[in-house]
Amino acid sequence: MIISSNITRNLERIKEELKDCDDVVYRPIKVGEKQKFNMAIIYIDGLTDKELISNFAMEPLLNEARKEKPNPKSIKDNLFELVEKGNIAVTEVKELKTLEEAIDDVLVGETILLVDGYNRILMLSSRGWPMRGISEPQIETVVRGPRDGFNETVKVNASLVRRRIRDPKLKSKYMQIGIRSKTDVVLMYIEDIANKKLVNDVKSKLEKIDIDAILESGHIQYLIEGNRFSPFPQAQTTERPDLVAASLYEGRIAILVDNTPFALIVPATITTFLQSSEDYYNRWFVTSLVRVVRYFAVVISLVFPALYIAMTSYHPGLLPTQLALYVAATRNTVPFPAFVEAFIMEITIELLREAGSRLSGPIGTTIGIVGGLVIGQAAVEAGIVSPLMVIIVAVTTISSFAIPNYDVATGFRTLRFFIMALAAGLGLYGIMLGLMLILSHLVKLNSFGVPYLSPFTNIGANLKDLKDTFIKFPIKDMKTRPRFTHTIDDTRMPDANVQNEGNVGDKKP
Amino acid sequence: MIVNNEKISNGQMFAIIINSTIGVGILSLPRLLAEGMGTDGWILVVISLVIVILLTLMITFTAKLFPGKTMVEFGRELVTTPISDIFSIIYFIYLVVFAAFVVRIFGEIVKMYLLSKTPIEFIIISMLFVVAYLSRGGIESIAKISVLLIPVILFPVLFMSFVLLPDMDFTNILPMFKFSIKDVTSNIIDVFFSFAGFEIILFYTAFVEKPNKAIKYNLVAVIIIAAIYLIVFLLALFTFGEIEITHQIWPSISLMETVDFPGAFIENVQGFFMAQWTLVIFSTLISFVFGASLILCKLFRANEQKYFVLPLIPIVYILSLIPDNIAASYDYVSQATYYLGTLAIIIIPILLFISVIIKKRNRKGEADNG
Repeated sequence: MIISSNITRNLERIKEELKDCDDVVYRPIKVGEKQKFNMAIIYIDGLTDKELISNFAMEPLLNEARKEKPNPKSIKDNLFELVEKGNIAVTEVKELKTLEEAIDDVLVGETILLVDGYNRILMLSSRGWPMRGISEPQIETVVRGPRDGFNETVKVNASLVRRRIRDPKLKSKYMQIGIRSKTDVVLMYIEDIANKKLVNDVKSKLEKIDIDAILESGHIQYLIEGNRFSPFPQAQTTERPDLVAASLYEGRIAILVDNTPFALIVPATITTFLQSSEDYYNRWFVTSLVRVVRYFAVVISLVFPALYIAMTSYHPGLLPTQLALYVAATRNTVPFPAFVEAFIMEITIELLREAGSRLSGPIGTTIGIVGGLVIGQAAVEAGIVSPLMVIIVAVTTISSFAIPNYDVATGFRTLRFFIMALAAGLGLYGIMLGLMLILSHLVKLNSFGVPYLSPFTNIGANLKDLKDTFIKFPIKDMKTRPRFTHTIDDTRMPDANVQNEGNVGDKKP
Repeated sequence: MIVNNEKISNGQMFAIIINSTIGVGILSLPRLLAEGMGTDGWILVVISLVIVILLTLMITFTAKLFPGKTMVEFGRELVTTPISDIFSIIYFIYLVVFAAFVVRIFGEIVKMYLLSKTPIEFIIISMLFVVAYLSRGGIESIAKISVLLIPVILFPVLFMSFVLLPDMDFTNILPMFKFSIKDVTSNIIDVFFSFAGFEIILFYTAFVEKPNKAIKYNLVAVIIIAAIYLIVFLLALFTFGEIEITHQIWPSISLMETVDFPGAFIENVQGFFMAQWTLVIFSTLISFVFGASLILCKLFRANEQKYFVLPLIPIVYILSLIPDNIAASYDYVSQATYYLGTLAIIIIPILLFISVIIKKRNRKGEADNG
């Protein structure tokens, strides 16, 4: 719709468009010494910084403008320019040519100023709404490392990343996705590190999204992923700006979405899911131990209950004799076959976990106590499950929480039931069958063109990436960026010798 | 960045060769060697290795001259379409028969050691479906999983060497060099076919990114295979002695069963080895099934290899169930190796190599004349 030069008609049309939207505020004003000029201000209550509008837009228009001696000719001819350039004390203003743009801006939280006699509308940047402060991330806490986490406002999140990368090459592309929600999405990457093909690929995938609303980064994640049937996430989610910054330095791409603290990082591989940002702040020695423990955690959370089922119901002979006797003795009173026992316990744990994650505070604690008692004590004493089963279920659950990324942990947790079912039917062979299926799936899986199991699946090509897997090498030995992202610039430390010479006390030959 | 570019690295090729070759052969190999030449069995491995190295050189040399082309395609250029297609069909039958044999032995062993009451048909068909699922993923999936499984193959061999060390009797290898040439000639074929699998180089070199460097990797691969065979034979010989080996169908499995560390948790570890061995067989099967589907695809000049995988499954399945028992399957397969194997591993590669040499010489002659 083209803006007419008659303010009343414009107002009518906007009002018609925003009918029954009672949160929209219309404020007609008259400006000038003789109050000859009609203007109107429109904004949405609650989305705008009212103080800013009254102090720096209304005040100059209503009061300051009157103080000036009238110079009717010039004022009349250049009213719009005068207002735009000389009167409004808001940092960001923009001229709009259509009513649609104006309405869109109002809905985003900007304020628009209509001036009678002009077919243009002035947009005054005034976004401001109540938001959560920057607090510590909920599910990615660290012992050592920054405590700030993303909040629900994308501009704040982008600035948190920008603070860590003060490089003009850090690009942040804003786009709006969702026909109705018009959610702000920011694509961040470092131009001379990130692979161009990857950037274009992600960009075009984002542009292709055609949906009514994006409420959370999950929507975007599942819309741009290559394999939507996979139980494994192909993009990494995080609440931590330092992790996003570190990933950008590795040549990966971050996607920040408005209204959610969870940012997406692509591409993601199984190794990146098992890295935590803290790994890089701690001593490499400690980190390496933790890394190995995490890989163990993946295996345990996947096959431990299944192994119990297979060993007790199919191959007690494969256990060491002492252990086999012990298992048989503890299962003496249990009235169910092993797989029923395992399923009962696993489902109980899932129920507890689900209930616990929905409830917080005192009720959550109660659930924990009741659950702990029921599982740990009563069930064993009643002879429904064996104590060994309780231990296995507990270790399995703890393991699944030891995986740093929640998404991928959930994937493995779900597959656990699948492997348990196979173990119940085919014993150890069933477990192997399940593992082969999962492996086959994983080798086929790509995250934005990067093999999911990289760097374990190629000899020679990205051997250096192994430095950041089971054993994390000291930072001095990781002179290059990871290879799996195919970066343009892959040197982190151009010349390592320089740094060695910098050490105090080093003798020069 | 580049999804599904159908290219593999030389390192991945190296892994594929090891994975395709080491399979069921390793289980019975110590018996074959001991039956044939007693304590001197290792000599057969060494002699086979020499032949395999020669053949690998020839095959790699032939294949790398035609980058991006499998034997089905470059064979047509070398020895005219009809003859080449017959060769390809021989390879196809060979791969399918061997896949069937491997999966049958696999089923028998799983049934014997893990699932005594489960019908073998179910074990075989479930395995084949997983193999089909992966083989549909194309050469890249095969390559990636092969690399992943390399440690799975190497680790147990090293582990067993350490664990069995205290129980070994190194004098079992004596007397040495007590064989006649006739022993070698009559047994070499059987042992040589334990190396069956490396000839897939003819087909997979087409996907290698830098075929010019392939020779080095392929040679290292076959040498590692021979080393593993040698270690397993020596382990069996040192542990059991010459006579005892010959009394076992699968000495390698018996070897696993003897691993025992009283006091430690390591006892009855054959479950662990069975699990590991399942993966080894899996890696052999995918290579064979993928190879067969690839040959079909290229024979029909089709684009999508993955549509040819599923039709193979019933064929392999039915073939695998033809023999009545383990002994019969070994009989069938030794028949097959004498005819098909000799053709596929020795004769056809040599023919192709000769035709390449002739082609080159002709071309050179033409260039000289012109």
